[in-house]
Amino acid sequence: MENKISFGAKLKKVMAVRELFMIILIIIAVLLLTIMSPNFLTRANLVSVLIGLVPNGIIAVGMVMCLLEGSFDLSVGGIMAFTGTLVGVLMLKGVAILPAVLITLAVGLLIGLVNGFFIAKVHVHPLIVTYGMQRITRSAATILTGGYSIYGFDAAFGVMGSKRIGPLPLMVWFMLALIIVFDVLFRKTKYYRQAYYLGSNPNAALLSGIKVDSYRIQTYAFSGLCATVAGVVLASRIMAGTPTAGDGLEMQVLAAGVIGGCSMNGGEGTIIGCFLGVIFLSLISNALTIMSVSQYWQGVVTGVILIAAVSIDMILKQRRAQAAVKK
Amino acid sequence: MKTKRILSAVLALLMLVTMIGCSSNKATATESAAAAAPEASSAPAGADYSKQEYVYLATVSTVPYWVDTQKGLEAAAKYLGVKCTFLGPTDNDVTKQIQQLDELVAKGVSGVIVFGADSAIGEAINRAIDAGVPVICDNSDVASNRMMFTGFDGHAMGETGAAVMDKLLNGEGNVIIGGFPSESVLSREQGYKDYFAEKTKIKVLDTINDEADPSKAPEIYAQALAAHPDVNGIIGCDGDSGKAIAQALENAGLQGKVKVVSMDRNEDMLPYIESGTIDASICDKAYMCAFFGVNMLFWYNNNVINPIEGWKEKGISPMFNSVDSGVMVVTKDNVKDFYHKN
Repeated sequence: MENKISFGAKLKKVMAVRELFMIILIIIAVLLLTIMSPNFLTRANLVSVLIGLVPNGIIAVGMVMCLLEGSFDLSVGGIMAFTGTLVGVLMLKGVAILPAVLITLAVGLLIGLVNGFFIAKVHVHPLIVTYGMQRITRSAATILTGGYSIYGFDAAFGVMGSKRIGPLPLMVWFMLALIIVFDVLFRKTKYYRQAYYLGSNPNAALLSGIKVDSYRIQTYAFSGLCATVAGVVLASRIMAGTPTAGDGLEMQVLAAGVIGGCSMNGGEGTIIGCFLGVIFLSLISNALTIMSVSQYWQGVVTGVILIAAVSIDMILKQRRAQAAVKK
Repeated sequence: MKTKRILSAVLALLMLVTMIGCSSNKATATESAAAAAPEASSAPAGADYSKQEYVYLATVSTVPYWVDTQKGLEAAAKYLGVKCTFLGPTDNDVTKQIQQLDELVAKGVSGVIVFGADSAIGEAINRAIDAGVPVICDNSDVASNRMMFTGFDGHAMGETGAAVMDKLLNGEGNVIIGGFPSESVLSREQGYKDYFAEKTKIKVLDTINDEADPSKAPEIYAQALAAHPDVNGIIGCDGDSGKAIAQALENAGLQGKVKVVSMDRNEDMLPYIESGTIDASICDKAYMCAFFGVNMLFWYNNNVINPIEGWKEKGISPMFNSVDSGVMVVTKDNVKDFYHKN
């Protein structure tokens, strides 16, 4: 007898996909915001939201790799601020744009390598290493500029923000390309899939031939590089190097990752899922601005929505698991 | 099962209620200022300007300093019959301020007063102006096409405070300067340093970062006092410095022995001026800057001023470029007048 799967069962299976839950959450948020504010669903506002989430979206790529391994990187905001000012300082000292960018990328990669070395080889907890690096890079950004933002760059550097392809500036397309390419790489390529194995069972990963220490170092180097790319892109967009950029950004991206399906224990999550989390958080932030929510209430609103959104998903997940056990 | 279903529904409802309930206004769309502008050369009495929204975009937006700014906005809203909103990131991250400015422009507000804490917002100000939203810079100026600057020169403010400390210390002694690394605060610190170097024998022992955080600043100043037992005066360059310095001095039993010049008129700092722990506070005119700024933007939008026919279209701006608000000095003699509840 052919075993027919009901439409309801198929729907439940599809709904179990975290990304779909996120998409539905975003659609609900868009509908609510459209009803509550006629200023939301305008081209200008949506483009503004997309532009604003680019640094978080780029950093999310590196953060997901850390999360898949059951770890995290708290230094990304500091690296973004430091490298965003470094590229500016280099250009103001007469270094041409491309070499300045390449040097900055190399420095960001090096910072990530340092993180990875202390975590993988010296076995210092990632919280300590990356928090310490956050403090170092933030201070370094202030030292570089004396606390001031720096500007006066060659207009060509502003290409990320000024060049438009269709309705969106280049920086948005660049971020989308990174998200899509790396999401595919993490799903399909052996190299990136090792992050899942490592996060699910580090001992088994080691026994299966994965060079765990080396891979961890590469992970943090990658995260540092992503934060540096975000720093350079941001500096290009605002045409300034600002040492205060990205304050608290690491927690936002972490939260986006968890909302989007990453487990803090590792082994779960996707880049698309984290990116959808970034979009969701950006929508909340946008809603607070366009609805003129009092500053004093913004923390309450953001916190309640975050906890409620993830709680709903966890409850639904538990229900599905219990239903599966009963079968 | 049923419990979890109910809980899911309650959580969803809570999200919805929180979003709606915390919206600080129930106003509908904000029309463009140009569409609401009457053709008369003066804003007609009785006309409805309630759909015009003027926003003050700050940073570190939840600190007590902004009380006067918000009172100025409320007064302007009442006086003109417009909507005034106070917004801004809760930290010092100018990139968040830039993002909010872009979103406000997309929303189509009638005008924005930008707290110019960081010059990086200049490009965003230019984008706003290009999109037809007039912008005033307040407190600190930003190199941009902004319509006007209101406020004080940070460096000059530092010099004013330095002159007060000069008198308190009779021209010589050791001081510590506290603030945090924001452009506007740094310019005040530099004003103090330059005055001391050029006109006195006062030596700056240290410049410390109090993080503008009332929960951390007292300990930061206490440690600075312990590190410099020979200090004769402490200067606070941001609104949260004064109380923190006073608390550190009182805990160390040094009140009255170390002179203090602080900044602003935060309500919880004024008792320390009354008691004499703080000798003086250099205070800006935040209420007036906000009130004045909204009125200027309103005049700009509503054809109240008409010195040259078609000045807007012709790009001839009659608006003042820069308005120096000056500062006020709060001492034991006048501190009672600065309490907000009086």
